[in-house]
This record gives sequence, C-alpha cells and structure tokens, in this order.
Amino acid sequence: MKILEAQSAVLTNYEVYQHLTDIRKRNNSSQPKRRMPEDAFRLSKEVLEYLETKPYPLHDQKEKQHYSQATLELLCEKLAEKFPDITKAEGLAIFDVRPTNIPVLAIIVESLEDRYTEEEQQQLVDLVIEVLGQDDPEPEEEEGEEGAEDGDAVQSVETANGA
Amino acid sequence: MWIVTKIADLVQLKPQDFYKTSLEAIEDKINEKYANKVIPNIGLCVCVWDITDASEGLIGQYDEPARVAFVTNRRHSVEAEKVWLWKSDEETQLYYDTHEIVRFMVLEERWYTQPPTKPKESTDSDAPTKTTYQAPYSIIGTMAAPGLGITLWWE
Repeated sequence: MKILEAQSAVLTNYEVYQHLTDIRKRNNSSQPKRRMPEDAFRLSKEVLEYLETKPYPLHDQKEKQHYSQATLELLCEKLAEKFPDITKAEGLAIFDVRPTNIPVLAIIVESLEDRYTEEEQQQLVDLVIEVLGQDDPEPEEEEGEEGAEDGDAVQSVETANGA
Repeated sequence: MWIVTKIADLVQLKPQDFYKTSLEAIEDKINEKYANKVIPNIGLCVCVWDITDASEGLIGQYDEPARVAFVTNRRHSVEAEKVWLWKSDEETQLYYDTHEIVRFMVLEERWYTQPPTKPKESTDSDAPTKTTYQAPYSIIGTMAAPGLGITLWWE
C-alpha cells in the first residue's frame, strides 16, 4: 500500500451522499444483487443515516431535492459574485451546513463580524436560503402558518427572478 | 469533512471472485481491506470513490491469479456534528440531554498507532500482561462558542 496523494480532493456532504446512494441503487438493481463487503456496507449505511438526520440539510433530500450539482455551482457563482472574500473551505462548509441564521454562519465564516456588516451577514444568510432552501418551520400553533408563508415567499421570489 | 485520498495497492483475487467483472472484484477487495479502518494522519476510510487505474493481472506464486489495482480513492471524515452525551447545567439553564444532536468545533486530531503486543513471557507468572488499547483516531472538540452546542438552540 502506498499513499500517492493524501488529499487529492475535498468532497461535499452532498457528493458523498449521492455516491453512497448511487452505489446502493447500482447494487440493488444488478442481477444477482451485489453486496458490499460487510464493513463497507455497515459504514456506508451509518454514514447515510447520519447525513439524513435532522438538522442536516440532506434529511429531506429525497422529497425536496434541495441539493444537486446545479445548486452547488449556483452557490459558488453567487458567492464569488457577491461575497468574493469567502474562501473555498468556507463555501464548502456553507454548502454542507446550510446556515439559516447568523450564529451558525459565524462558526463557519472566520471573524464574520469583522469582515461583514450586519446587513451583509443577513444578505449572506438570505442567499443561502434562496439557493439551498430551508427546513419547513415546525408546525406549532399559529406561528407555523406564518412560517409557511415565509417559505412560499422565498419560492415566489425565485420564480419572479426566473421570469 | 470528506476527502479523497489516492492510494496504490496490490490486491489478490481468488478464483471464487472470478464470476465478477475484474473492476467489481477489485472494488470489493479494496472495500474489504480498507473500509472502517483508520489510516494514520489521513482518517477513517469509508469506501472506494473511484478506481483510476488497474494494471494487467499477474499470476502469483501459488498459481492463483492476482490482479494489481493501482490508485484507489477513498474518503475520510472529520465530522462537524455528532451525537454527544453530556449533562451539565449552566446559568442560562441549557441542558444537554442525551441523544440530542450537537455541533462542535474540532480543535485537535489525535492519532495513535497500536504497537504489536508482546509475546507471552515465561509461564512463572500467570498474571496476564495487560495491553491497553486506545482509539486509533480521536477528535478533540469544543462547544464553548456561540452557534455551537445543541443545534436546536440556534434554530
């Protein structure tokens, strides 16, 4: 065994998720069914379960399809356009964690407060929500309805932009 | 965080694997060998990402055909979030309940290579020599910063 390159690429959670689900689909559809070796099977199952756990943004990927290669490209494009100071590693973490509020954003982006004004911070959060979507608000009492309207508003903004 | 690591290795394919295509057989062998194992200073291997190159097979000395797979890519994870069990109460009365998902910041990675165990010495002392096992890879993290801790606090 020889390590040729310790880190030849960095992957996003989405790519890992997609790779593992692709393997699973491929194995299940081949005749006869293929099975990964025990350890690999168990580990990939655990990784998938982990990625599909709330509050990970991939937890509702199956229903919502928020994530795709296109959204990754779109996010990079928009970040480069509006927030050129965001480093690659920060962009990756933004894509993986999907910060929908400022405290969470602050742990991803180093010295956020020094680099961006409060307004810009909010713009960045809005950009993330626009591109990657967000969780439906918890259906609790009346607040739930308001939240749902917010979600719709985001979608209609998108369609308005498209039109 | 997930990374792809390029590795060259030689794997042996046995006759019982011949019903598979060689690419499948190589992939299975590599997954068997690496998955769920820690490579020092790289991380925990999950599975084959891609096989970039495989040479022609060689016949081994026991007349069992062996195939050489070169360069496999795998991933490792330094996870940013994990289930953590902790109980504490602070002034603000935030509780870490069990089975809550938390977010923490990685401060340090520790690698440990288990040395081989000593052979049994003379039979005089029946006391079994104690070998201490340590996790090959541990992550030291902190939750003492805004935005960290139980994810629900920050929703």
